Amino acid sequence: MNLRSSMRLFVAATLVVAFAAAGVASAQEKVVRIAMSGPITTFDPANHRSRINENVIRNVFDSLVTVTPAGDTVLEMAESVEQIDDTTWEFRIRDGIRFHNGDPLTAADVAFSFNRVVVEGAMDGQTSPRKALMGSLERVEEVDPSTVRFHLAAPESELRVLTSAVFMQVMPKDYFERVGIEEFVRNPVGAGPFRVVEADFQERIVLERFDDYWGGAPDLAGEPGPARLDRVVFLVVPDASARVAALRAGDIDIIQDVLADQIPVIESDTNVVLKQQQGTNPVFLAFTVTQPPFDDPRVRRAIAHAIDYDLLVDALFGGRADALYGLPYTWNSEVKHDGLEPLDYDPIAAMAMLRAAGSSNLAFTIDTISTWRLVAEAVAQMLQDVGVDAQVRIWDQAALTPAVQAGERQAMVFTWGNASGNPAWPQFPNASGTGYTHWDDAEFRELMQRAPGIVDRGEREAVFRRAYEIHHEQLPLITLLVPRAVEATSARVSGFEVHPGGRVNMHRVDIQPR
Amino acid sequence: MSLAFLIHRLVQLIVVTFVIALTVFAVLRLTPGDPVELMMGRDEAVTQADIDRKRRALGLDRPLHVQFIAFVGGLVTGDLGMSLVQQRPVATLLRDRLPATIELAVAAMIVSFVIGIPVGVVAALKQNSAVDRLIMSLNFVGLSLPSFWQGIMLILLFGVVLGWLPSLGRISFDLVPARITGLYTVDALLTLDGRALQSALAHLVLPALTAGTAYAAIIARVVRSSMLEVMRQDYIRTAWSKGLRPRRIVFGHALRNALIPMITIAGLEAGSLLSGSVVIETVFSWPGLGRMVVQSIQGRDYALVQGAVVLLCVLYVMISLVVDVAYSIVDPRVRW
Repeated sequence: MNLRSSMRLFVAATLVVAFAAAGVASAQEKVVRIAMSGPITTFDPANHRSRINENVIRNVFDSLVTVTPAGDTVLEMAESVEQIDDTTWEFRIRDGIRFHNGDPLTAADVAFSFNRVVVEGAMDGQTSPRKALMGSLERVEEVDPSTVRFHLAAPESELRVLTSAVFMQVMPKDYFERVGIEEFVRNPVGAGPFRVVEADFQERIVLERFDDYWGGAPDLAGEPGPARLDRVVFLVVPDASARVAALRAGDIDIIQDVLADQIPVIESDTNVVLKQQQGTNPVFLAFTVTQPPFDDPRVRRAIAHAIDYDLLVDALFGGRADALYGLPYTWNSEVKHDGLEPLDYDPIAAMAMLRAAGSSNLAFTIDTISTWRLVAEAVAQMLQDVGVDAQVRIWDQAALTPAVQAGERQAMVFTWGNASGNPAWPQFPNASGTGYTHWDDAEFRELMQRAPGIVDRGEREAVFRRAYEIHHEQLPLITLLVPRAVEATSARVSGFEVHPGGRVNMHRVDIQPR
Repeated sequence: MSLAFLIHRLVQLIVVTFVIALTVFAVLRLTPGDPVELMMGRDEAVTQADIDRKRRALGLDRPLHVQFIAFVGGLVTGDLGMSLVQQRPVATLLRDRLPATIELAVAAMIVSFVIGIPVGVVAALKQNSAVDRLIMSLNFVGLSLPSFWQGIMLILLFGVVLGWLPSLGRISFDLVPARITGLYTVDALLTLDGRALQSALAHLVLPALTAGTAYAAIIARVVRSSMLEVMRQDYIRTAWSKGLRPRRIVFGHALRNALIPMITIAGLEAGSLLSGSVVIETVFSWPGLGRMVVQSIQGRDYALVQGAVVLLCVLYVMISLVVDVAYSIVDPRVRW
């Protein structure tokens, strides 16, 4: 037998052995595979502001407080919360909670985790990007092994304090200090329902059930206790069409961010189930109000009346979005204002208002990123219908954001999440200057700075409402709509609920065998 | 092959790599968007001092020429630096992604040759017949189909409707073989892991078919015209007049010579496939170099983009060298 024949025989024999072995099925595990639109960047709960990270991290780490799919804020690892004085709140931590490495979770871990976020430069000299989510929380003090106190710089409502506690998960202090951040990110240890067994950030994250899990928030639906699933796998599937195809092919069990044009296909497939929930990411048209003609509120208001909000919802989202009509709050906002009139679509009035403002021949460019191209183009078309020469330019976000922040663009379509329903939404510019509009109204700024610290609820809400009125009169940005969170699962998956903030909570999810 | 030729190519490699390194370094820094601001976000918690501190920690506060010298110095010692976003060595990230790209490239090349060569030969032998016209029409379709559409259609047919093949990824997550080469098919064979091999091959079929089809169309066209030219040569006419069997004439004499231009096509195809097909990697969630480079460009991850581009440049030059050497082997008239 010559060399070539020997090689052929070897390859053939190997393939026979390989495929024979492939026929042996593994024991039936309960595994759910979730498609992520992009890779995660870290397992450090204090060092990110991304929902993709959050989806994975929240299955590995638990918080003191959480939010239900209906949007209610409920206690998770905290057993009770009590206000001590205007700026001090005390949380009692449930007994018997353990980290994945067996260490008990104590107040020291809670204080350590929160102080890493709220104290300037606490992360190796760097300040946590989550600090802005913590309101006026200044520091967390360990009182005894089961009790911590939140010390605020200024009074805040109970809901704001609880919301701060939602936004950070508890990390094991001793383990973290022993291994350091690099090893912690490689081998994270939390007290959540799943522990990490394999992590390739760019490709997949494999989680395994933590059998000694404490049980989870009692107010979340389903039975408390360890997770039902043996494993949860997060896979990076960047293409939206590929996610739907993979779900229908049975290669994925849960997908998020379903696009409107994919919905009919999903609804026609009996093997998959479409789920939706009201969203929390308002899409808006923002103006750089330091540039003429957008320094004139009449022009901004005229544009608001030229937009057919209902048509945007129906045509671009198949009805799976909620029109905002320029109102400065969403369904989940802590403070609403029934007295504000939604800005109705009235093109005749819009043209008259533009004429009155001396902007009949208005021409400008709306800048946006590819995600919001259709919204921007539809708005531009509506503006063209009232004689405004509106054009759309698409940018890479990395290039667009600095230009907007430098006041170099005229208008942009963008989104900014507000999962916590905070009336002091970051796109409302206060002293921080985080808004994209460069709008700076002294009264609005003062109200927005003062309101969160007012203890009396009625008074606080009244101040916020007055701020809303000013914003609604001035319209530095026009809120267009909130897309609903549309997700789809395999019909075999049960117990999965769409979360308005996009949280993927796998604790009480189950899956039927094929 | 002369020593002078090898030295010449080595010098060429160094010069090309330096020019590419300088170009990618400059272009990245001329592109709007600051990696530190992208990394840290823009809200009230992030102060200018935080941004400056991070910039210092990443070495981005140094003058550009110092950064460039450090980059080139690192290249010389094989140190490509740390990814700004992922905080892992660039060399490790590239090493992790390169096998996926090589595996797909090799599979796609096999697909393109297995389809393209026989189709081209048949079209040449049946020149101007209905078969030839049908093949050339299909060939045109193959060249024109956008790969993202073709990929999604293949997924719908083989994944959703027939359920025969997986629609995404390189392998079932629970079957990843022990890493030896990083090529899952090879590692599965070496470890005699049948389930892993089956899974890796099944995952490879659709992306390889998608990536290979367009090249198969090109190869078929080149083989057809090359075969037509060779079949008119005197030595083929002589072979016919000697009464040789048609099979021997076609495969023994004509095809061997007609395939010489394939070396160039193969080199171009290999270079293009190794640089990573972003579209195919995105549609099939294939974790290769192309997608990583695009993500790192979007995140302005200077170190990773620079490292990846330099690696691809070196790969291109090496492939070009292999093509030259291959020519001198198959065609004795070519001497270097």
